[in-house]
Amino acid sequence: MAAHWVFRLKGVGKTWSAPDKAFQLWVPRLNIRAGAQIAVLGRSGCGKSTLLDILAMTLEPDACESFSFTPQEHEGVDIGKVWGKRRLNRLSGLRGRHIGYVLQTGGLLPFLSVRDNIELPRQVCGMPRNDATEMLAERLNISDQLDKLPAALSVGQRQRVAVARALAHEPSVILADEPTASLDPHTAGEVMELVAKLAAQRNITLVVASHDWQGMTDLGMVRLQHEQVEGTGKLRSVFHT
Amino acid sequence: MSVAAGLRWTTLTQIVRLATRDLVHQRLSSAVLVLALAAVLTPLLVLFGLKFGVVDNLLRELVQDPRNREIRLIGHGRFDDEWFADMRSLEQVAFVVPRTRGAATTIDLRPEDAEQQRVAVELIPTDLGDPLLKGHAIPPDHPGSVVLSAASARAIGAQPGTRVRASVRRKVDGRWSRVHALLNVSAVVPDSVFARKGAFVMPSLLTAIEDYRDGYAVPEYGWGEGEAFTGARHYSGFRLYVRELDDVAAVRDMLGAQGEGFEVSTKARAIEEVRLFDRYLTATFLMIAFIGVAGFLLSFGASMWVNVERKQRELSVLQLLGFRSPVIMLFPIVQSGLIALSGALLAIALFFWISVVINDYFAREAGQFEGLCRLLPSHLAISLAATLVCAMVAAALAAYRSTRIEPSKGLREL
Repeated sequence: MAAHWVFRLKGVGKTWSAPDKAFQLWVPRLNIRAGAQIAVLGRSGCGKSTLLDILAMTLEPDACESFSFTPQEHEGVDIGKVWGKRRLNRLSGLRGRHIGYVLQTGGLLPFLSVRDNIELPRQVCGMPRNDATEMLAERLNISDQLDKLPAALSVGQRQRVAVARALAHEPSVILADEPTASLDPHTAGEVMELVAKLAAQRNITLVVASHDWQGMTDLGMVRLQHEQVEGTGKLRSVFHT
Repeated sequence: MSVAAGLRWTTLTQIVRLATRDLVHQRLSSAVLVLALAAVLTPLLVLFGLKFGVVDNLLRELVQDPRNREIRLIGHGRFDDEWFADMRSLEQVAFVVPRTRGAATTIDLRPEDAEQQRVAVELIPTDLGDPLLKGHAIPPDHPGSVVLSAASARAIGAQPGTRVRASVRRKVDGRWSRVHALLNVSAVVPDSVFARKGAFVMPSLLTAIEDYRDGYAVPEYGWGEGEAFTGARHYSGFRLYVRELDDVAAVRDMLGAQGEGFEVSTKARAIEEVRLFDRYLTATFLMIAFIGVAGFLLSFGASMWVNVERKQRELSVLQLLGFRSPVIMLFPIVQSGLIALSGALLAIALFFWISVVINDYFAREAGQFEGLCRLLPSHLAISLAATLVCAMVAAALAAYRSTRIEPSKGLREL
């Protein structure tokens, strides 16, 4: 059986211009196999978030030779083309259905209870209610918090809720941007371990951006190659497999 | 994608529910926006209410008071039946009835069955369609019927249904004599119609009295002896009302051009002054209102815009979760709409309360005005609709802009 690649990127980049120096994220080649667990490691500011945003289709790359997203084995989508045609709703649809994104700061809606926050992605996809919320809450140890508003939770609890929300609609990919940055080392390890475990059980492709070198390798995640290339007036941050 | 079509409605209700939940969650800032809107809209409504009420009152008074449409003859003239027929045939003339000689054609009245002092009252010729009586009494339809002014009714203690004895005196060949007629009071009209002691009767009673005083016999009433008046009758005056305010000048000029030229008096000047006042008042109000409305729409639209900016992160999260842009745009639009609706309804409620206070005050201080501050339901509907449209357009523009932003920017900017 041929390998099923969820993401296939070739020559994808995004440049941020600053007055003194431009910064470019550059991905010469990146293929991510379905079910893989990838760690994007690097110091903060090296473009990890940018890479994840491009994968999440929330940021348009300004260079894109080819970028295909294949959530299920048969339906590959040329994301570069969809961006080019400004079909943002198509991207929203793909994202809503197939991607769970754990933001660095949770990104929970402050006006919804924890339960409603977790169930929202399922509702967006038109999926029926089930006991997934309770199960996830139990696994993530937030069962007692379901009826509270996010503001009443600790940062660590909120981050667990964000993880639950990213998993609730049974996505094929989870992208997590420094999901444990605001947690203490012990909780961070716990949460990260849970994410990896839940993803593995459900055969979900997992891409985590982190500056925690040790934690990720301990979990047995595959590290993405990264190097910084100093050019003329330009700092190039290169990620590749 | 057949699922997507089925999702449509639930997605819409979802976003409306989310928008409402957020408004409730931020109840303090929602309440501030609602109050801010009501604070600007209420004075505007009161201003419009006053303008509409004042002008309406002025115009109503101007149009409704038949005295403004009366043309009075100064001095005496000589008018025959043909002249009156001509006048009646004129389009502009609403009502004309002959007056007999003698500026004060008086008659003495007292109740039929009571011995009391006779009261002298002024006789006013009337007929069907008398504008002065309109809305107050049906003019007498036969010579034995009389409509009394309130002052006369008070003086002789009469009320509708009372029979009164009228008496007329004359002096022929140095001898005083008096004749009587029994009249039935068919109605009493208020002081606003006729402030003095007066009695509205059919012209035939007046001509009978004139004939009797001139020394003729009046067989219809059994008055006097000798011969009755025959020949062409001439009247010395008239009561004339035109149909519209605008007709006053035309009919006045026409009378002035007749024969040797009759001198008449009208309220044309007063009418012109009130109209001018109305025009200036309207212009002033319009200017104030224009500035007020423009300021209101700008400030309200701006605050709705800012509200969307504040929501950028939430909107981006919704985008991240897969809501499509048109659906997300509904989020701030629904919020603005709800705020506008609440604010406008609050303003309308406040307007009603304030207008009751204002109208009570003026009703006590100056009785002739009613509803000095008021708006028609259509005015309120228009202000409500304008507020809603403005709020939702501002929110839609801001929301359109914010959904054009890539979600990652909205998420990371804060």
